[in-house]
Amino acid sequence: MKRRNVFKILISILFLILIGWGIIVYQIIDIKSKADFYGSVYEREALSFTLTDQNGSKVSLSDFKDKVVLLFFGYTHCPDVCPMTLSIMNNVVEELGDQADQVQVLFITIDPQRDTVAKLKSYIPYYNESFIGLTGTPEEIDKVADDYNIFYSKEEVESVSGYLMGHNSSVLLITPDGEIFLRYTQNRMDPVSIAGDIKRIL
Amino acid sequence: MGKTIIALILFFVLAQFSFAQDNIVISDAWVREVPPGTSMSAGYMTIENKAKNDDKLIGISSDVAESAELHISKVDENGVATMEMIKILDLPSGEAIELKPGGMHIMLIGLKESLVGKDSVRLNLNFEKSGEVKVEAPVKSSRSPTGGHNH
Ligand SMILES: [Cu+2]
Repeated sequence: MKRRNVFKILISILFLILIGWGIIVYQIIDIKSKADFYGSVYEREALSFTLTDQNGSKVSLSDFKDKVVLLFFGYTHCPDVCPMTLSIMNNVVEELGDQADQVQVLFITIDPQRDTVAKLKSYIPYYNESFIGLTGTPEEIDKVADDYNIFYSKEEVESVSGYLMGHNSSVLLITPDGEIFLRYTQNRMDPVSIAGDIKRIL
Repeated sequence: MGKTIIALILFFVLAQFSFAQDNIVISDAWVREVPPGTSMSAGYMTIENKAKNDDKLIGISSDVAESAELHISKVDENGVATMEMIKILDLPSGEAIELKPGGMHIMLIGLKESLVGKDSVRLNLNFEKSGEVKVEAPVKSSRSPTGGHNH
């Protein structure tokens, strides 16, 4: 009888060790699979927001609950980095083929003073009809940029262009379950690789 | 014999002059097509100084924009993109400088007309030693990252 108990305890210990091993192995595999993404793993909660789109309608992040959202901040007077990013986003969507309708590209202006609803209307759909441009009051934009850790500032440069904006130009990938999972900085903007990440998530 | 030598010297001297026109070589020039109503765009190209002397790009103009400036986009380690103006661009002898998206670019400020449907844009580059160089830069669609796929 006593021997049987010892045997039971030993089996239990062995079982626990196996579970422990399982967890460790699982975590290693999990980390490895995360490292396989092209974008850098960010993993932060995507806080909700409501802003106005290029048609004057209110749009919230929760409107895209079953989609992967590609979110980035910019301004229409930006001549180099923003058009480049928008065209890359267009390439990503093209690359996704029939999965394209499961992705939503959102562009939030950090220059609401000049980027009105009408301005966004003439600007955003040019790159892709499905893209949504968002504006709001300076306070609303401030809040969203802050929530998403996006720095921006007006730069008075010695240029005749009036003012330019310095801004975080990264693209954030938000999963259908509301997590900012990946981040793409300007040196990681290959459309095929970004589309590859999205295909893995979908 | 003496005449031959003079002729040869003359030939090389003249050859020098004819090559002098090719001091500044511009290649792969293009301007980004932007949505109608947009006031800004950017132009890109490679500028090579094939002269024996150093040169400087001191001014740019274009008839489609109120003004044109040389800028450089910079992205810091936090992902923050800013632009800086380059007033004078040094072009050392024998070097080529590439203007490309996300880097150095000719910023076209205050577009006077829409670039959509335009084949090309004239850019006038003013060099300290080589003088004015006119570039006919094709307009390429903004819907692709490097400006290709313009159907
Ligand atoms: Cu610029």
